[in-house]
Amino acid sequence: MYEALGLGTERAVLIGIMLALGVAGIAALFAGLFWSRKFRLPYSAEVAFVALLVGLLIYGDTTSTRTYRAYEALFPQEGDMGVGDEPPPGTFAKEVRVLAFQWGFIFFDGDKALRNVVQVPPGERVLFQLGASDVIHGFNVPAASITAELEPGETYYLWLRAPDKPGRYLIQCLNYCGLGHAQMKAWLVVAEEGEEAGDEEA
Amino acid sequence: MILRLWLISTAVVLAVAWYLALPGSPPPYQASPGSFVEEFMQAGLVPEPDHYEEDEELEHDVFEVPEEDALRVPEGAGEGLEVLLLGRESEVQDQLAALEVDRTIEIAMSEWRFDPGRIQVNTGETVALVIENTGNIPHEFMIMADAAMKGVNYRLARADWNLTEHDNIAEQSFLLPKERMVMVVRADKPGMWMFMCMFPYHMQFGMMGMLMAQGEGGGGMQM
Amino acid sequence: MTAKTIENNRDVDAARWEVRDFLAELDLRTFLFSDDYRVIALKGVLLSLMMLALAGTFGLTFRAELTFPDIQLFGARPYMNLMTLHGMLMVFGFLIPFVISLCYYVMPRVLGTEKLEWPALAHASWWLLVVAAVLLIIGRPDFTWTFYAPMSLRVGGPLVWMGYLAIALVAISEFLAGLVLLKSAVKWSGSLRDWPLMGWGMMTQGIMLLFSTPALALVGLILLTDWLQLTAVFDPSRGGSTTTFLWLFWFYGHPAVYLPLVPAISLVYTLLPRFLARPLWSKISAIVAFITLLVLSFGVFHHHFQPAVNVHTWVQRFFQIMTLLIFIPSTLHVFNWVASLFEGPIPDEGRRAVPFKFLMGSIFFIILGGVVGYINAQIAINTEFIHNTYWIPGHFHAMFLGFCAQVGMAAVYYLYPYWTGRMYNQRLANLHFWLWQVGIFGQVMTMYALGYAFFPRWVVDYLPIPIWSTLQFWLTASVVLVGLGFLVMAWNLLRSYRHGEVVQGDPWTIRPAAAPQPQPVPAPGE
Repeated sequence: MYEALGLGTERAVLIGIMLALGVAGIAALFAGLFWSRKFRLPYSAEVAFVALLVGLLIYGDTTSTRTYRAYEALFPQEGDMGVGDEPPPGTFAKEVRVLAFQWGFIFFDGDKALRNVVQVPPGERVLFQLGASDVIHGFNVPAASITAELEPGETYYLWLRAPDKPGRYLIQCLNYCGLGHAQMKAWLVVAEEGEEAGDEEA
Repeated sequence: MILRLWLISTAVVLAVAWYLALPGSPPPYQASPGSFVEEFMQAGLVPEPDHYEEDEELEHDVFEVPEEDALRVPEGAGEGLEVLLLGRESEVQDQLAALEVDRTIEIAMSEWRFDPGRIQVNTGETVALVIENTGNIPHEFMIMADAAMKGVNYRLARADWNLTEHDNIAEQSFLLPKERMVMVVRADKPGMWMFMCMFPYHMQFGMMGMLMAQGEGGGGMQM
Repeated sequence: MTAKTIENNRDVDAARWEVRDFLAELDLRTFLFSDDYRVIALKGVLLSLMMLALAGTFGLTFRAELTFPDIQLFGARPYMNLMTLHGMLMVFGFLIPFVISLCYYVMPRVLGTEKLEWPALAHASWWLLVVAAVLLIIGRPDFTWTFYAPMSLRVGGPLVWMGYLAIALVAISEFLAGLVLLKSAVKWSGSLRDWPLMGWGMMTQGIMLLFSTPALALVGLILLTDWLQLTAVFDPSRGGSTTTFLWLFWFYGHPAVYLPLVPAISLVYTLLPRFLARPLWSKISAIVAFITLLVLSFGVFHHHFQPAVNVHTWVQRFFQIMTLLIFIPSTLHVFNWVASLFEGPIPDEGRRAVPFKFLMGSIFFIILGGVVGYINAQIAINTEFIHNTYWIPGHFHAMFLGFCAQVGMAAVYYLYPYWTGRMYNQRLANLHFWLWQVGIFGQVMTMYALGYAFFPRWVVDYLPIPIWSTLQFWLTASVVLVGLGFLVMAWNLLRSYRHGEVVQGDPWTIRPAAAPQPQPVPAPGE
């Protein structure tokens, strides 16, 4: 969700904290094994350590909650979804409906229907309304760093910011849904309306 | 002694498990007993029938046929079958009425078969195939020459299956459950053509049929 | 710290037995039916090592398919069959029984009870596991080790019911083990203060088993009745609910990942002091960590299917917070162990001992696998590169293989002289150690990198994207090292049974390292 909201730095901070904890832990292990200085840590050291962790956990929880609430705030609210309903102007450049099945995706883009391909304008926010028709499927767009998990019969929303660079990007199913799971892929074509797709991207 | 027994049992278990682990063709998947497409139509996720059009132009731009496919298909495969009409029944009704059709055959397409799976036609006969998706999930309809199957069989399990085009004579990208399509064909030469649903593993589970055309005055199929 | 104090110090020294060829004393009847805690434990250890061999070869096989894109050694069904059996036999057949059986061996001696309570239940647990393994091998399910409904109701062909039954039998087997562990753990005649950490750990384990396994048994049973069309609980197209499946399965599924972890942690607490020749830094910290983990472990499971919820309410936030909190107990254990290393010099004999090296390797990997929990727990970043990409197998291979399996191997190398009267070849054991550190590190890091690059789980083939191809190649290379390490260990232990040096006296008598002597102050004028 950080990618969609353009909050890459916040995500980097969280990953940085994780890396710092890992490096610190491993450094401590090696120091304990190979450093010649020996001492008994007081209990307060562990208490301080836990306090530090709790601080980091609170930071993680608040950042994550703020982010997913901001992401979900853009979903259409109860009562104003469905065919023909207009989103608040300017929120999304396009709204696409997706039917996931064994083993592919059908995209309904306005009054057009497409199998395993959808076209979006570059750099714009696009809303997807998703449903799985038979078993649990996934919907993942690596280039937009976002994933949804679809229980059959339920409707889900997902929105992303399309990549800036025109081209073909991958959409893939991330939940094992049967023998065709590995082949359940689709193209996300990023191009201005009326233009052709460019080279393949990943 | 215990260790010796352990070694022997481990070896036996390994051998048996390995032998059992690599079966042949996959057993067909149990089909979904019901479909959510109607609920999705009510929820607005799926448009009502006849309220959308397939964007074939974009599909043809984006999906490419791998070069290697053509290398495996003999020259002239597929010749002889003329497709006079192809499309969803609701869209092509008028054009269908304008054609002179000798015979109409209804085919039910579902998980995981075509019924009937063998169609026999005479050369020169104009046949209308009306195909209905009687299953619970979307299916595709594609027809190609029997010889042309070599151009796709080699990559049936490849990850890029959905992302590439499969060279064919005619194709209907998808039919939602309960949708119907019409394909009017005329075989000008004797031959054998396969029709199938090319979605991953649908064909392997059994969604394939054949269309055979026999010339006047004798059987024999040429490919 | 005098030798006498160590002699009396149960926490440091209790885990020792008479050195003799114990295995030779067992005939088949004794092996299968004796109530002696050591025999029951060995039965479990040998069965789980057989499962490791089986699941490991399956893993190496499907790794071959993934080494390069576009190769088709076998199709999707055999691949998923191998992967399903790899996962199920590893978790249910190897990891959980292995560490539990090692604790069956160690706990009665450490607690001084010299027996396991309710041995008949321990026997039944073992036999149920044998039947479950046979069912899995013959039934050959291909529904992944998490068998999500309704997919798991549709796959596999006519023998798939064996898979559902195996799941239920595994649940019952684990439940019985929980009864044995709990009853045996609380049979402590001393004070609560002196109760060894092995006891605290096994009590935690027993309670987790008792409360989590009924959910798994129910899932296995309902899958069977749904498949037989007697019910429609999990199948939404017949009126059921996948949400019910997800909640019920993961209610077991999250405590399930602590079932290999808690006994492994208990083994570290029991064996580490032996090699350091002094007690751990803190006992109370460990107890707090065990209890906190027990309490939190049942309240985090939603994170496994968190993206299946579209709008997150206070329910999901609750699980996010709990998942973040459960990070803490594991860090307490690591803090304790590392602080114990700092507390005094490490005796050379301890430092050089192969079991000690494996303990250190395991701590390395619990850190490597554990720190990612910080971001895995958070909903917003979980929907990016974490959920259902290779990041997750990276995380659990670090924990299961890097930590739990290595602790188990440490225990095997520790107990071997007590089982066989001989010592194994040190160079081969060290070779195993290094093959595993390099191999598991390579495996975990390539899996994390693949996850960061959005490589999907459960795929038999993948698009020829360069970063994916490169990483998959190095992942296979790493896993080959792990497999080689296992072979080296198997060869070493089997060969040493006949040709290893006969051990005289206790092999793990580690004298405490001398504290640094204060230097004499030079007299003025010298």
